Amino acid sequence: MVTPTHDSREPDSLARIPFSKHDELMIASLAKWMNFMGWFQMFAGVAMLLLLVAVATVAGHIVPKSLKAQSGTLGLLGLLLAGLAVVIIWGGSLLTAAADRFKLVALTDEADQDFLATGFGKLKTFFLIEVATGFITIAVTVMQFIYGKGGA
Amino acid sequence: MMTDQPSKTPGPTEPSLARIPFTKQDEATIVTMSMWMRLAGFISCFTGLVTILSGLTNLNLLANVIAGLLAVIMGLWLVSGAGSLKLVATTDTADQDHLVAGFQKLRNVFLLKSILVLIYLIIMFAVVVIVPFVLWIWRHLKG
Repeated sequence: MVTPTHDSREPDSLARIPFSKHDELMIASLAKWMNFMGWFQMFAGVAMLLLLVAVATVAGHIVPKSLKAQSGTLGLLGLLLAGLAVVIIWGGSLLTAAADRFKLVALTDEADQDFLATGFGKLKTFFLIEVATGFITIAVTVMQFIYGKGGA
Repeated sequence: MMTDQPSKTPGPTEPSLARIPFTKQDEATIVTMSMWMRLAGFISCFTGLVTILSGLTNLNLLANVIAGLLAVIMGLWLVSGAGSLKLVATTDTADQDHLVAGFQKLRNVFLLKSILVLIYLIIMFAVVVIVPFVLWIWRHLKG
């Protein structure tokens, strides 16, 4: 591993990184699909929130008396799911923001290095969210398996 | 966003940059990003393997194997891409080439995810809209 040697006086960030035409098209394509996934994720998060609100509204009217005692637990579960939906929307917005930066890298020569740096910053938070939701999903699956086996 | 500047017109093939002068802070961001990306890749591989194995215990073997394989492939791309992008921040040998390699892996991941989402949306549209409409037409034609 070569240790980067940085002069104390760093040059200005590069306005242009000499990507080949092929690489520019690839980066523009990456930005396009990142943008698509970001918007889909935001849409899915909003749909999830609306569904939770609808379920909460309907359940408040028709829940049988036998389940009233568990309404606190159900409410907490609803809040957790709502929080998850907000996180999903946030992740989608980060993905679209990173996509916009990478698109600028491919289409302009203004500040390639700066756009890369800010795009990577957005992607860092996006993957952090992905890892967190991934661990939560695994934990919930394991608990379902354990309690399912115990119930059987 | 297009500017007044002329569109990028790369001249004759230019040598790839050995070093992109990222700041220390930006390099740290890239290293951290590659770490989370690698972890996301491992999680994807893990869930893919679990999906494949769980398919062996139920009737959805084919669906589980396909879904699991796709998750493993995406996970491997993420891990590989993370490795390339980490080299951008930790070395000065071929920053631009490592950047392109990392971006290619990322593009593969998001392209595959987008294709799966589009397939899902088409199926949902068919199930929710087209099939009931066709059944309704059929019932009316039958009288």
